[in-house]
Amino acid sequence: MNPSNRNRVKAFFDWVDGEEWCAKTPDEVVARQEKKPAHRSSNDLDAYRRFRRLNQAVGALFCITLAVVLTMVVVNLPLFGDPSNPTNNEVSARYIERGIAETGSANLVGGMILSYRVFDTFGESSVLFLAATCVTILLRRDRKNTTSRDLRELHSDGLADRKDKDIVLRTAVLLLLPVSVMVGFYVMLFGHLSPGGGFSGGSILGGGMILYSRTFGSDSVRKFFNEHLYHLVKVVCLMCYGLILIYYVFTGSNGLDNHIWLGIPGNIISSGIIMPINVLVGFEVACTIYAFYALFSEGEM
Amino acid sequence: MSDFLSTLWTQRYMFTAVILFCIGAFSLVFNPNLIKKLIGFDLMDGAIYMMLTSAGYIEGRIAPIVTDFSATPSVETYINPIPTGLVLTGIVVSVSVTAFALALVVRIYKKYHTVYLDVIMASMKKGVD
Repeated sequence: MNPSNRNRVKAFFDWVDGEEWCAKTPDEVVARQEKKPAHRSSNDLDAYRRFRRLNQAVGALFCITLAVVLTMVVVNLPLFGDPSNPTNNEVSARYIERGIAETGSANLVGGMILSYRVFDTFGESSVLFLAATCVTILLRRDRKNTTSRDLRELHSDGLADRKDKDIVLRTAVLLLLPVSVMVGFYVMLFGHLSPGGGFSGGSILGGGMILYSRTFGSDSVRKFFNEHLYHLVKVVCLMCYGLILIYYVFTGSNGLDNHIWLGIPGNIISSGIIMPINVLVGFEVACTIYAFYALFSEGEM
Repeated sequence: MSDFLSTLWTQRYMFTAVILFCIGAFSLVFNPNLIKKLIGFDLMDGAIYMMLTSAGYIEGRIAPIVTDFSATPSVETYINPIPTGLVLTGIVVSVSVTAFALALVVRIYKKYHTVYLDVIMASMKKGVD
């Protein structure tokens, strides 16, 4: 291996390890080094490094043991693809045989998670909501937690006015964006008829927004989607979902007629509560995905 | 021995999940880099999803999406929908947890200027603010 190749390999490993070899100017390197704690080569740290070597050896042993034990377990589990497995019991039979009659959804998985197990799925949406709130609390920039140094770094990374002048990228995104928005809405609206649903459709929509923001700058996204709208959509979607859920569970558990029109299975307007919930979840997820991107890259929407 | 190997081949998806899970667990517990810990965590998530979906598969049957509405769907046609639904829920939770953990790492980096846990622990011991 010749020296230049070795340098390249070392550079690659440094890059994987997160070292700052890719700093653009000497000033940047100095600026980054200043921030490093001065006691990096102290005795304490050497002790930790020695401990780490032992730690890695013990860890390797532990993981090999774990792998052997789990392989033994896997060999003794019910066989893959066997119809007589204990997981294929009367519960799944009921979901398959009566799923269409009771939920009106051709996609039996979608029907299952949004009507029989709707409470579980509501919990999942709440987890997403909570995570988005926590990320906002942790990463949002305001006057209290932003120093002038942060702002300078933001500018030097080119993140503050992130507009790409590259004509190829701009044209490609303009061609791709309508398709991604259309596919996102399609997956959301046809979640009860074909593979997909709220979460996957929302992710596609959010991905389209990230592409747009990355190419044309976050200011152009702010024209139609600002922080106010983000909070509004997030809260209203989850609240409507919760209200539908409360109505559905209350009437069901008290044996009342819930007057939800299931429609003809296979039509777009069918399957009762499943399509509205898919759309609500889709909007919430699209907002959240874009909010994650905006908060991690700039600290504001 | 050949019996063991043939069973292992039948269970190949679960075996792959075991390997992935162990790599993830190693990186989660024993790697000092916080970002790599999170990558290990996501690998473990992926392993669990792989195990669950393979537990729901039944040889020769199709995905549970009905296209023929003339008759009542028969259990003999479709795979088990329950593990698939559980994976759907799990993916969303894993995305949320990863985003939250990454935000915490960003805050830790802002305070200690490093993502290495041993350096952070040394700083904490010295009481460096």
